Amino acid sequence: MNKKRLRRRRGKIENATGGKPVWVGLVGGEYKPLAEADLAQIYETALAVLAEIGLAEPIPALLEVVVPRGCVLGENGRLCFPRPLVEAAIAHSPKQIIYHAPNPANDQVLDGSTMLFGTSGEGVTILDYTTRRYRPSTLPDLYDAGRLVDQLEHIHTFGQPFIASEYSHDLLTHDINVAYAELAATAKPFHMGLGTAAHVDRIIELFDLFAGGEGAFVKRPFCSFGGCPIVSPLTFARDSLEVMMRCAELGITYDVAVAAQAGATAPAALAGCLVQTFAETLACLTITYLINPQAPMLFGMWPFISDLRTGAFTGGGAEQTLVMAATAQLCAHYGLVSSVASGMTDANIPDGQAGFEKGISTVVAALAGGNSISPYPGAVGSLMGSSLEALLIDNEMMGMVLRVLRGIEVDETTLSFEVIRETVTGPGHYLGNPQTIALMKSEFLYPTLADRRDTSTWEEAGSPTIYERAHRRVRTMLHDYYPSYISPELDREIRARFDIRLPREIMQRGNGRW
Amino acid sequence: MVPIKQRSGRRGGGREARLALRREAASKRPVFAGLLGGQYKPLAQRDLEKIHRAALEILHTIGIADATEEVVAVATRAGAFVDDNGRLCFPPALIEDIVAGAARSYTIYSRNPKYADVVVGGRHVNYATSGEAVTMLDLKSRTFRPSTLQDLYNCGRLVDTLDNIHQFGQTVIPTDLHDLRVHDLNVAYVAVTATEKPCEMTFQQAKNVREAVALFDRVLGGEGRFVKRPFVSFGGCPIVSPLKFGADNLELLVETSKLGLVSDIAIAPQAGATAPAALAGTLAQVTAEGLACLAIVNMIRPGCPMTFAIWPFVSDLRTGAFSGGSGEEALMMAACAQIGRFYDLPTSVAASMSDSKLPDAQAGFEKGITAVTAGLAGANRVLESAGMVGSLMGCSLEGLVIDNDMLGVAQRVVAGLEVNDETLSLDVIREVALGPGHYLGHPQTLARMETDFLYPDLADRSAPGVWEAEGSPDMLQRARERVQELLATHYPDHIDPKLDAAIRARFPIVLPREVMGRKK
Repeated sequence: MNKKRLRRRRGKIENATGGKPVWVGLVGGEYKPLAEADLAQIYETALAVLAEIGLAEPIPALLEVVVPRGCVLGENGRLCFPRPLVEAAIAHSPKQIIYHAPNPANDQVLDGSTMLFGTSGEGVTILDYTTRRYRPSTLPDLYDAGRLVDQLEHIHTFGQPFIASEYSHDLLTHDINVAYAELAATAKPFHMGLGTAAHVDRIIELFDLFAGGEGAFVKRPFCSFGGCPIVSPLTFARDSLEVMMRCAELGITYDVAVAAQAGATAPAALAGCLVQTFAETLACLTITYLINPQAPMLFGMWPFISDLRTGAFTGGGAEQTLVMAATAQLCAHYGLVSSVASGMTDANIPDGQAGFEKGISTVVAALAGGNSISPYPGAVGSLMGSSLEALLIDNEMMGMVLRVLRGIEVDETTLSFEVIRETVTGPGHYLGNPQTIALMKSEFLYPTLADRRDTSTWEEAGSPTIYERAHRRVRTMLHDYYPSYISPELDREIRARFDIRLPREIMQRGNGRW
Repeated sequence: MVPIKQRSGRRGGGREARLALRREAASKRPVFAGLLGGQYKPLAQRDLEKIHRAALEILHTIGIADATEEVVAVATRAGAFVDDNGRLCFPPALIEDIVAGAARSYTIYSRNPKYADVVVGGRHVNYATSGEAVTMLDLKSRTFRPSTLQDLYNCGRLVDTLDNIHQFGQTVIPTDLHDLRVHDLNVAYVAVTATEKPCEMTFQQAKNVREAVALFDRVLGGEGRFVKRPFVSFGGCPIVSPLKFGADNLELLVETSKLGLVSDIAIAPQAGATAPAALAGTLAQVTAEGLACLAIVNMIRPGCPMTFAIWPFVSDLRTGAFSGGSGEEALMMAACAQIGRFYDLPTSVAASMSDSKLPDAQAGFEKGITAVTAGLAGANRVLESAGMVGSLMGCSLEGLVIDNDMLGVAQRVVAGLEVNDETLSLDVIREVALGPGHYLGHPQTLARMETDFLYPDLADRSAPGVWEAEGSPDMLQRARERVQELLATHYPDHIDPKLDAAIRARFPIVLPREVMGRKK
């Protein structure tokens, strides 16, 4: 209730100042996939899993911190978490996470009463529009995706949509260059995946140069790191665990994504899959809390679904949508700031299938009350690849979802009794009514890429699909838009101290790429 | 699979057998007709009450214009009054009584136990086609051409094969039929020949209803049978917004109610044009309009079922054009489903009305978002839900088969999660974590494989490399192939040749036998 009131108030303020049909600061919760009793059962069972079964392969550095605080190392080598510890971690989990942006004007506050859309994925390929084939994704692709996201209204944060595969053999070069490309491309809060704890400090050195000196980044961390410290079922993944622990020590946001697959690495029963991923993510939360009670961890329990006929991950099915909606509700119920995934279509190209799989999963995740939602804008092929055209199409879809999320304001004014009386006894239509004109821009969202023309106008324009229109738009946007967030002097300094592989020439107009 | 041939007239075992079959079918697939929705509540309880009070005030103090003499006579006898402007006004207490005494649900029957009856009421959710578009999308040329009777028949036989569409409603108007009686009776004929699923159609003339009912009786094997087990619902739009009756469809409403049949109406004002631009105001107005129709039906025949079908449409205020694929539309239809639940009346809403001209990614997300929110809000029948493109201007056969997959996903979401000791899986987790380390061959996995997971029909789940090797086809290409295959092979045989000859002898049927896969 409180949350709703807060949202309304926020909405009114925003509306009074901006008069926009959608805004940041909307949140769901009107859709409740689970009954309260179901939530409690999932919670109780997850706590039992942590206390009785525990997690395998804890690393010594972890044991040093958590065993003295009450975690129990079993004879079978599994680390168990007693109930009071987990409950303390939940109680102390941050109720607010600030997503700083390179430009402070773009900072975003994430809490129980907000929802943000971001990209994400760390895919490995790009779908080529012309050949309809996938090719390995590269550093310039990442820079291009960042430049697009920087221009797209409904994407609030830029998470690394794919890797720079040409550097996948040299992870330090890879990670440094991902950090640089994202910083160069966007002024929105951004995010990168990281699998090596030793790289954290090196990347922070780079960010400190931008932020204005040593220690500046940690005060306003405009990039969050993320990964998956768990190998399901219930086993620690050493490298990512170390990254998570380092972030906790530094007190910077760690974006955890625990992605067990129902039927493969989690139970096929969807409730059981929720139980296990909840337990696994709570283990991460408890560890973070024990290392540094102030450290913010975004609660990313991401139960994934496999197609049980083949064992392959299938992100576009309804079961995926349902379990993700359930996690959003679960987190909201227990006061955890959630990270939720949607939009993970199995279609290999942005077609009708991609459209409905992304649309359904995203609206449902948002209405269930997810906080940081990654609708995987741009991602296709069960997260294997990305399409720049899809990024634009999905931005349109997310606008629509935001409008649904905003809901309908019902009060004396909006109920319009006098407007109805006037119209019915007068002109008989509302077309020129002052209310209509006043609400035109604030009550209704107009798409920029979705087609609303009549059929004959569309035919005259050559009957284009949204994919075709998006392609033309991508070319224009990438041809024209080269932000200069890093000054030339700073750029020289960064390049002098770090092995930057993104050529200067492709970071300005007229480079022939677009 | 049950062969499609099973004849409808034979009802050995009757209701029991049908229920058993349905249970059997339902126990295998995770989705089916009549799933329970209502988990999504776009409006707060106090907002619903505000809308209700505003609607009552509109009906009492503004009223509805242009009631026919017959309706004025019936309504004033029941307690309504005509004000100084000649508008028919309804006191709040009268409306409250009408709502209290109205039918809570109705059933549109299937003619074959293999398909579920569509139960309209409570929290049940069913998805249906409809739309009455006037053009068909020609995919090859990417242009629209006028729709024909044969197009309607083709839509029907496709729907006959599509599991996630529970009712075949009239997708297109046969623009090749100009005589209104011929038009209405041929649409009725398509309804009985193309599918045995429950149907929906629209009459151009109220006077043709009785003749169509005679045709339906003939199919069911005797006079008076259709009224007992109606397998087709019909109605029009008795309101011309804002707050006026439309004479023709009001007459149809009266006629249908006199016969004791369901009035399957739709009231579709456009926000910003024929309803306020403020969404809440549109809801207040359309609720008033819906309650006025409910009052008329119940005054003519108390307890006669009417679909509380309030369908506020959203227009793009820059152009005035209808925009069915917008977020505002998704929201409004979900709110209307909830208003219907507030009154506990059988509802329908419209969803999946994309503004895209062809089944592309835009159509996909617009349809998906509107269809799933309508179902989650507990709409009893979600109409327009498959095949429609171009803001209801056109229909696409490819769209029908694509939307069938989309509706499967929407329904699986509505079906929800099962939480109990068995599904919480504590013992299974323990066993696997301490044992093999994966769940792949676990008995639970095998047991849940068919019951908990829905496998798509046309949607692609192949790996990128496999997909490329197949020539990188998109959903539309796969749909085109599927449509060609189905239309070349699926000629339903729901009406035997003798009955067909009898129908053709009595009614002006113009659908050639050849297009039905039969000899001349």
